[in-house]
Amino acid sequence: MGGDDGEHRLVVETGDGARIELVCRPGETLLAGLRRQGCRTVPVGCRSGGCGVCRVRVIAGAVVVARPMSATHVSAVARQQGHVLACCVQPDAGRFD
Amino acid sequence: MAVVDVLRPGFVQLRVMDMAQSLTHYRDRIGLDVVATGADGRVYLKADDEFDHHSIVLRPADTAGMDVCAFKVLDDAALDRLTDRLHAHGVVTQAIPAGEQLGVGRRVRFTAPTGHVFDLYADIERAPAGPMTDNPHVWRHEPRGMAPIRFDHVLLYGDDIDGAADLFTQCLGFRRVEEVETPDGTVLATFLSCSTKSHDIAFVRHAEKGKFHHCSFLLEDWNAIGRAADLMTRYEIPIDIGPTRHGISRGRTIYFFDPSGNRNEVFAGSYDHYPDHPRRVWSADQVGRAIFYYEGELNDRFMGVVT
Ligand code: FES
Ligand SMILES: [Fe+2]
Repeated sequence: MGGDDGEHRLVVETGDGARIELVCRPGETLLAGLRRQGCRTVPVGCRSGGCGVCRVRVIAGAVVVARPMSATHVSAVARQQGHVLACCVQPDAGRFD
Repeated sequence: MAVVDVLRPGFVQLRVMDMAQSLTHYRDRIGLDVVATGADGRVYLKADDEFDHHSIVLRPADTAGMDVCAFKVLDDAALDRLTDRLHAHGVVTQAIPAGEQLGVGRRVRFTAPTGHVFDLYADIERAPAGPMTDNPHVWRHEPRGMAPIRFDHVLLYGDDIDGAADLFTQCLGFRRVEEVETPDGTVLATFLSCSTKSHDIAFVRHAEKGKFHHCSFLLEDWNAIGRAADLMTRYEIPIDIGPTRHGISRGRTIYFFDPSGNRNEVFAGSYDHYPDHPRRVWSADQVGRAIFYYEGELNDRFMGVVT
């Protein structure tokens, strides 16, 4: 219940610098949300946090890391700046932004 | 080539980011057996029809990819012969002491011009419950999961695949079985065999050094590939492509991903290679059919998604 019923508004910046606004469903990865809304500029690779092709930067909205992201593609510093692998993160169910 | 000194790809050590999920994948879904767990956290696994101690090693890490691929050689004298040939070729080798991996004897390590690390070794313990040898049944225990027969090969991405192919053919007795070539003779992909398999290792030209494309498990036939696809769908394992067929090697295949994004393949039904066979060549404009025979074109992931 609680915050987990709602949809979560996020803004991400893709590799080419474009900003995309998306609505993510609870339990859905950011990558799945982007695809569901027709985004084709974030590639779908391994969907498992290893290949790095789905890397984006979260500009607005809170996410939680649901599975490990390869340190080759997201260093601790990059993570602090909002970089994530879209296949590994989900909207933070406990927060509304 | 007919087997001389190098017998086969013996094992591959992969980095994984979540061991529990990786074991669910490799043990329960693919169906490998866990042989041992090392004090350093590495887990050793093997396929049902392999005699040796292990063929897959999973190392806990914060990245994905391949640490090393190792080839088993005939005996200790062969290991010395091959080491001499590497030195004569100008390749620097490093001695890895016996016991660095559980059950494995001394290894000779070198880095290929593509940046990948390879080991050669002659000695490895037998697995505690390998295939039967006395009035042998087809298996000791009925296979689980995708019923893998053996670890078959790896495909690697790197820059200097010409140098790597030269090293493997000139020092280690491999043959160029099947290749993709541009009109000016640039080799884009090379499939090399040290045995009667269509390939024991393959390299694809890629800007970055040392990348891992996939490790492959041999299944019995096309039906087994179909059942593997059912398991992948049932358990939501990310499929890259397939079931389909490769033009190169003619193998039936599915590419899919482990929980760290390392690509796996299940593979069956490729042709046999003999040393008197001519090299088979695909032109670059037919590369789609060479890789994915039915689709006739590469998917977006084939070139860019590696660990
Ligand atoms: S798709 Fe490979 S890391 Fe996200
Ligand atoms: Fe393969």
